[in-house]
Amino acid sequence: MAGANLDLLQGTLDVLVLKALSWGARHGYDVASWIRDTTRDDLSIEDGALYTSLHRMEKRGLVDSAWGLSENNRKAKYYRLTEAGRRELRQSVDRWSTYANAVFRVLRAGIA
Amino acid sequence: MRMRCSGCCGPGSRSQADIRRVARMFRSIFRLSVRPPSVEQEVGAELDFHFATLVDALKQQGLSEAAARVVAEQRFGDVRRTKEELMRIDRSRREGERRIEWWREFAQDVRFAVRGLRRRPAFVATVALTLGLAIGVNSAVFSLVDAILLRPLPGVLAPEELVEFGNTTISYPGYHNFVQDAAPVLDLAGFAQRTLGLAFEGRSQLVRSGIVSGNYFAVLGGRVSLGRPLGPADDAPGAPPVVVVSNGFWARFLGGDARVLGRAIIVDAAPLVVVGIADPAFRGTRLAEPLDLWIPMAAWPIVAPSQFIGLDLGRRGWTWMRAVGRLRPGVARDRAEAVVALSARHQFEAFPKDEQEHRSIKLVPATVTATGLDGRQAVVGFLLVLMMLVTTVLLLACVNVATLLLARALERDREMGIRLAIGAGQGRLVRQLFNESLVLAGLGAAVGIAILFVALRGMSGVNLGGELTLAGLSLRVNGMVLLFTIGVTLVASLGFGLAPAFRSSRVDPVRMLHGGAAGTPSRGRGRSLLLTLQLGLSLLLLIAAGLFGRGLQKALSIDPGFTADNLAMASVNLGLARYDPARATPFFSGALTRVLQVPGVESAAWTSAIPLTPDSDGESYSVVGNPPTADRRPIIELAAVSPGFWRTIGMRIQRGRDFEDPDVEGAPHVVIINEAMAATAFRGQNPLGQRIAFSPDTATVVGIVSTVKQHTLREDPLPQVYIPLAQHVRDFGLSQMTLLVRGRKPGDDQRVLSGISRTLQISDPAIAVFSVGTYADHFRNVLAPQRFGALLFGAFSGLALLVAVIGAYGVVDHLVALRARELGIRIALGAGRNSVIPLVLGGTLKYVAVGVAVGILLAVLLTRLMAAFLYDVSPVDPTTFSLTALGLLAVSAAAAYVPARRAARLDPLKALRQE
Repeated sequence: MAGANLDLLQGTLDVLVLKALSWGARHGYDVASWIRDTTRDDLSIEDGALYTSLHRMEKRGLVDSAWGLSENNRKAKYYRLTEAGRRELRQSVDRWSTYANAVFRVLRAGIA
Repeated sequence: MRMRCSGCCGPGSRSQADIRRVARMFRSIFRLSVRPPSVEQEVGAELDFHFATLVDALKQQGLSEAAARVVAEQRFGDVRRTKEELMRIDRSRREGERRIEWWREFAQDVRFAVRGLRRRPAFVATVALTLGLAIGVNSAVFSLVDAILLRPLPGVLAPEELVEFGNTTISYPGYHNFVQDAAPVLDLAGFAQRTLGLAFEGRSQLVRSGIVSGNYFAVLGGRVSLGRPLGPADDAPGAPPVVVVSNGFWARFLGGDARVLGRAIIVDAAPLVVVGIADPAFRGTRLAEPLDLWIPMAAWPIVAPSQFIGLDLGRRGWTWMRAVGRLRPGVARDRAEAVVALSARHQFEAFPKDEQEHRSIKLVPATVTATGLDGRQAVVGFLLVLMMLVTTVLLLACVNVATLLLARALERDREMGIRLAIGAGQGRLVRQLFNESLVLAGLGAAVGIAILFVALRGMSGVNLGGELTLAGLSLRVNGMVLLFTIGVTLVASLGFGLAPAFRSSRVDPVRMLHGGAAGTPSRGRGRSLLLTLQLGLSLLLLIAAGLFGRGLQKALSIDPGFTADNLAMASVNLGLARYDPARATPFFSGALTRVLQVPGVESAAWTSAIPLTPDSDGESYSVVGNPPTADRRPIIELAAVSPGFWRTIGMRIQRGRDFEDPDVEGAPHVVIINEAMAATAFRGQNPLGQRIAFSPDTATVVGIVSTVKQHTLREDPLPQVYIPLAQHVRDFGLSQMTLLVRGRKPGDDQRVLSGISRTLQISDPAIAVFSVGTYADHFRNVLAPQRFGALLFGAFSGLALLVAVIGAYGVVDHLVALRARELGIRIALGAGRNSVIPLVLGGTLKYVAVGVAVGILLAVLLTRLMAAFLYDVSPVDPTTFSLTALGLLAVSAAAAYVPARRAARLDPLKALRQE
């Protein structure tokens, strides 16, 4: 499956971004790098889409933001999860696990 | 160990110090609201950081600066579009945040204001109730005005284009002349209104019916919700008799079933086929007499074949119908009026004896005749007085709230002084007071809206007399008026609510804290003016209510000319049961004999006319041997009655005799006239034995009876001719006849009711019996408008009194509080405690006296507007004036007494220290 271009839905993107923020505040570049590294670039997500997702979720109150200094001493915009964001993440993870398991069961049927 | 790593490592590798640093940064930034940079700057900076960091990282992997930049942009996607999208999202986010922030601040202000007001629940309740009452009753009364005067013709297309021939009734041939002559300027339709008996599936009811020309629906633009409206074909000679029924009647009486279309209902004597159900809003052109049936004129001779009560379609000068017309586009009313007047003159010249009614025809807007021209002045006047009354209540409410707020402001001078002294800005004080006023006005508006709906509900059951019930009106809340009244009260409460802020800002905090200023209050000229105005307006309202009450009392004591109690009645309509005169005569005599045997029945008689009902049967007449009177043929009212009618209803036969058994069909015709007729028609000769002619035959006057009120209690004596039912069964006996029954002892009127209906049913199970009840109930309905007026005025005045008393109490209480220091000194110096009370009372009553004088002056100027509604009571009735003035004085004195007593109990030390 490696290298396949997956059509990513907005909702999926949001879960990934929320997950990236689940350990603490990060700036957009950090979020993008983490997702790229963690997925080993299998999903080939455009950075712009991640930023759009961040801003949308900020509007929905799932994340909030503040300006701070980055590790390389540049001014960067940091995002963190709000309480609502944390709740959304939990629910999304549950939904996704159920969905993915179900799809897996179907695809594996008869193979084993 | 600290690793420089630009995000490629897992989350666990981030150092604790970093996290704390970021957390601290968040805390400080989220708490401190600095002016945020523009959305564009922010998005730009964010993306600049992204690209700079990425390019650095890629260069470390060995790419050139240019190559790194290309890769970074490829990874990003469409930079320009994304940037725009981000800015759009951020802008809408900031917009939302601003809105939330505004509401949060607003809620905070309100909470703060509520906390401040919570300490004064009585003050808050008084202000909210006062404002609420004013808002509620003003809007309610305007809804009434709106429904009666501004939208009087619901369901009619463009009512402003419609005109009627004023109060003139015209004949059917005359109507056709007018239709032809006025065609270039007016599209004319004709109509008449009658109450008819209707039977359907064994049930029967009286219905208000329109007898209309074929183009009536077309001219008015009246629509149907089922079937079709009446058309010209229905009004053609020999057309099958059809009928359109109102939506309400269809739902109520015909079961709301569409299958009724095409079926026949019996109206008086005739079966009429239902062809349409009118639109729910359409009820004809008379607000007070909404119609339930529309019958084409061509069908009228079938419905009412009798010569007296029939609306003769062929006779010149037999004026029974009205005309309503739509002005053709671009035609002004006076031009149309000139055309109509010319037609009238031609008709008069052609038929000088008959077409006299036509000589002075005024075209009046149908929106005006909708309230009935005769009754209109009364209706408009009543509403006008009502509006003035509630406007006064509104004014009084504003004044009251102003005094209350000013009193509170004075109390708060000290608080304000302290706040100023500890450095609160004036803006801050203004904002706080503004919020308090806003909360008060908001509460007032809420109370007002609640009162409005209660009032509309309460009024909707009220009978305005005749068939005009408020339930029949389309009452609705007018948003503009509601907003207007709320606005007025808002301005009043904000205006006076803010006064203390400006007062206080002028107050010298040092002097204030020393207690000087509050101890010697500047008794503002403005405040005493408000107080006197308040008391004056209250008295005006009290006087208005008093006058109305006395008018009602007088109206109730009018002698109707007969004995209204202990009378029972029941009506039948033999035409509905397809009787002919030969069967009707024995029915009337047989039923009478049986009813007289019902226990508790003293006497009984049949009549075609019940006193104090709007309908009547008229006929023109002349005295045989006298030359015709001056310019018009006099019309008298006719009633067919059976012997014993006078004894039953309690009228006296002044001269001559009663009808007797030999006065039957075939015997010489006789009549009995009333005194009003005797006085006007016979030029001083003795009427007994004279003959009067009314078409088609003549009759001898055999008796003279006292005069009763025929239609209303306030009417002047009307000439009336009574004819024996036995001689006119053909003309009267087949439409509605009423059996009047007098009970032996009080309460019998109620007890004999079931006996009467049973007896009538036994006489013939096939007939329908209507309107079984006591005359007392009928009488109550007749007086309903007066009662409604008195009730309304009474209720408003009661409220006004309440508002006035609360206001007076508040003001007096406040005046006493201001004098506490002075009173304390007096008591400390040895003034007797009891001497303080008259001192306080006197000081207060001085204001009250001026207020009463102002009130009387206002009343003298304004109550004359009510004159039309005051039966036999002068608008400056001295009894009412003096009683209400004394009443207000007494109430104010009582209101002053409580604080005066408190003043007498003042602890002088405390009073002095407090200040």
